[in-house]
Amino acid sequence: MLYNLKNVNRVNFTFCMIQITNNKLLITQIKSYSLIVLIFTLLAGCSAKDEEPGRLENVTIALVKLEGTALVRIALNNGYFKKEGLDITLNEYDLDSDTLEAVLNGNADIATAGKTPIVKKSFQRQDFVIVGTIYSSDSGVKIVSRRGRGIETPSDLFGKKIGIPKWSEEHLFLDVLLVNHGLTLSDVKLVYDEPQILIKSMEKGEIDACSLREPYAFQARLKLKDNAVVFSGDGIYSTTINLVTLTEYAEGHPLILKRIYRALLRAEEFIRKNKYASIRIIAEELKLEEKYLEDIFGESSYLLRLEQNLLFTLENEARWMIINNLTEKRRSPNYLKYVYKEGLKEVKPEAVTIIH
Amino acid sequence: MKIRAKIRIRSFFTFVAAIAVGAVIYVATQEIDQASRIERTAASILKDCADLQMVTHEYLLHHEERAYEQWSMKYDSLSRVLSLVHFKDPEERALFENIKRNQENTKKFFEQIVAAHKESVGFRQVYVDYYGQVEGRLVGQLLIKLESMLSDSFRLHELSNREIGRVQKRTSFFIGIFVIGLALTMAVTSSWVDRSILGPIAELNKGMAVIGAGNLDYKVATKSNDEIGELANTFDYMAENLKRTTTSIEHLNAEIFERRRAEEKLQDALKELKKLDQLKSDFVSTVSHELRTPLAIIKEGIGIVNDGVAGHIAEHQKKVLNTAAKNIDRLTNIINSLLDISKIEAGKIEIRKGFIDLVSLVKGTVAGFKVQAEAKGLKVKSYFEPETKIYAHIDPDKIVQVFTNLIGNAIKFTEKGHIDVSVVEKEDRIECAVTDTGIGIKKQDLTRVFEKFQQFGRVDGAGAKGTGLGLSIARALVEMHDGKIRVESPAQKSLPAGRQGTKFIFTLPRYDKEIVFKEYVSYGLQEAKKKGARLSIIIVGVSHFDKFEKEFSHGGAYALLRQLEEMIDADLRHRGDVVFRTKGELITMLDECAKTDAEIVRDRIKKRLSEYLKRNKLDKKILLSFGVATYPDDAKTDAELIKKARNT
Repeated sequence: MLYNLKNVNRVNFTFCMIQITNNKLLITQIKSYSLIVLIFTLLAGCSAKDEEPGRLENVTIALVKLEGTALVRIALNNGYFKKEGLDITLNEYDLDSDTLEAVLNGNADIATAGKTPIVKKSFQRQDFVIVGTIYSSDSGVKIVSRRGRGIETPSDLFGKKIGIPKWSEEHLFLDVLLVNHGLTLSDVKLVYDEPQILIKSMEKGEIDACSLREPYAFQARLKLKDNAVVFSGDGIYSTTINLVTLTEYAEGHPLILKRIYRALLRAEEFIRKNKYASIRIIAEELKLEEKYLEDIFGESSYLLRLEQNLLFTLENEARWMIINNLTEKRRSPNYLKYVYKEGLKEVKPEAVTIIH
Repeated sequence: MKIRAKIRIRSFFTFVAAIAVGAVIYVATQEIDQASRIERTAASILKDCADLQMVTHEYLLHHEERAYEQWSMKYDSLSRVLSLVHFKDPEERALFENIKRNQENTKKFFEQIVAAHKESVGFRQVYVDYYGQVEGRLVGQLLIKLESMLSDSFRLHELSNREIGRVQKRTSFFIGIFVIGLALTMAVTSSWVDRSILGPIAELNKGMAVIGAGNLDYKVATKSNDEIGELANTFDYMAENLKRTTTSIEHLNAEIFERRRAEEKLQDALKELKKLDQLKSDFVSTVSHELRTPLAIIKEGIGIVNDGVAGHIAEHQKKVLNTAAKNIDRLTNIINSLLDISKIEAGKIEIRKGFIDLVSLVKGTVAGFKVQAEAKGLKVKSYFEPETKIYAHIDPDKIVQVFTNLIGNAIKFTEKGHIDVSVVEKEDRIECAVTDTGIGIKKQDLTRVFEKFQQFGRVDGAGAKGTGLGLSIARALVEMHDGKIRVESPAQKSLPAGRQGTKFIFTLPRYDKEIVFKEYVSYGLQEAKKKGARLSIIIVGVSHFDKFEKEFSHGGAYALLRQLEEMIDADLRHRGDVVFRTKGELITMLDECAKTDAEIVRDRIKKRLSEYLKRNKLDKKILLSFGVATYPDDAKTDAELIKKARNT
């Protein structure tokens, strides 16, 4: 119900904004017309010039090896960071918990991380902020099962042996999925392990299904070939990749942040206009198959924004961790304090929908 | 009314109309701006209400601190907006008041829910029960108020949008009306101005075409009283004048026609006269030639008889023979004069000019008259400072003849006193004069002195009777030198009674040698081009002539140059070859001479001059340069030819 209400309000708000823009346009036209009729000379004022990048600023980005980092990779590949006066050093990591750790330890300025490590760290530290979301997908985590094990719908998971990485997004996704279909985690047999090991176990027939995020879900599908049965959550769970930095860094380097935003917005436009070229770049960078990326690009959103629902989903995840005793804290943190929206508001105000 | 005034009136109306349109547009813009401000406020209220509803739901779900904080922020934001805005429209104001009232209620309910939740924490069972009641009571009330707020704000926004639409329509209508008004004003005033300008112009144009076609009786007669009317009147006036002028021209043409016919007749008569004159000249020339020979033989015969070669003759016989001989001389002079005048008139006199010292020439001429003058008890004098030289570009024979005629004339008509001959250099000319102390010429005869066969007013002495051609010949020869001749009488006031004296003055132009030289070369070149022949010039230059002139004095330097000129002249063999001096240069022009031949001549001159200088021990002091250039081998124009000859 909440999501529906939100959508209604958004539609109305968008309508209001269009009306305002139209009215402004009309006034401008009439003003211009009156001036023409009166034959007054119009002197064109100088448009405010965006600040020119001066010397190259060094920025270290801790980047997770996921296709969700496409905006950063394309901005770097196409030289958008350099055009904005930034000299980017990339430190690549397999896990997004490591990228976040790199920022918190001072080994990187900016990290790309999913929600889970952010929420985990939010129980321990309050000195970091999310400065933007660069990727979101409702199909980022999937259930992959072996054909012949009687699993065709989520309800069929009852009593089955299901592999998951423990206390991960995949774990939470499975929980939410089961609850949505009248089941709980106690209704299935859970096997905890790393994604790669779980895929092998499923191949061998030791487990019936796995909850895996991309690109592991795709790898499992390749291994099982025609024996693979895949279903996602129909929008019940959203994965995101976010840009995280220390609060001190965000407040101390607003100009650098703006340059990063501008470079990422250029990359966003590039992806919008050049989907297949973008896929080729990402495939080459991450050694992924273009076919897989074509599927993923269709299901995902590579947009730079800061949305109200990010706060709500972070709280959801925090509450799940509290319920499962993954933290000693009994209340979820106030995630408004973990978001730095001023920079993006200046560069692209419409990208910030967090209520303020 | 003048065109300028019409245009000013049109501009004024257009300006006023434009100002009116501008004012309407400005007012309309202000209205739209105001409506838009209200619409933006309504949109802001709508967004805040929607946001408030959303965070209310988020808070009610999990009572998160973040949601509470956002709710508070949004409530404050909405309160700020509501406190700043004021709606005039009653419906809008009613909606606005509803929103405000509901907003206050939502805060009351929300705070009660928050307080109840805080109290329930730690007492779960109690909380559940209590919250069950709150949900039924407060949450329900809160959500109703929120829904109501949202609904009112939607309506408020719709109304403000509608108001914008109305203002836009009204504005468009008024702008349309005023723009049409402006267009009509411009069209009417333009049409008025155009009609009042273009109509008369068309009439004028038509008039010009009619008059241009030859109908000079046509009148434009426009009624316009502006500049075009004035122009039309001027045009009519001009046409009238043109008509008058045309009539005059027709008369004039008739007169010209008559005059031309008379002129043609005169021309025919003149031609006839010229033919007759030519026949006369030919006759005189032929007769003179034919007479001179027998006269010479007769004189010779008389001389032989008179000298006793043919046998002894008595004294009285000698006297007779002497008289006969004198008359033969006189007859010969008459015949010579007749020959000269006929040659002059026939244009057969050839002038061979050179740079001649007039002082020497006059001295020589005067000396020739010494005996004749003394025989009459007269003196012929010429006064010049020692070493004075006055060079003129003349044919010496012809100028001698002029002096001879004038001095001879003076002696003839002077019984007592003297004859003075002078040559004076003026700024732009050389003035020569022969003055006598004779009886002079009557005033009424002065104008006819130089006419042919004129003999008047003078008392003839023995042998004074002449042909009446001497002065006429003198004038012709002077004019051939581009000079002028005149006579003054009385010439002297201090003479005794019966004598008033006569002064004949003739002028000769002063020539710059360089210009004369260029003229020579230019003329020679023209002749060579006509004949398709070659022309060579040799320039002998004296290095540092100024220094040389100082060292040898002016006279010495020129004497040496003259000597060198004579040596070159002696070396020239072709009839058309000439040599002359300029300052520091000796220029030789070789007619129809090829380059190789010119170089041979140059070498010959060089050898001769060098030997001369060496002989006189001047070869160390005077350095000569020898240049040669030939048309068309070396140059095509006179300037190039001279330059080339100077630089080789």
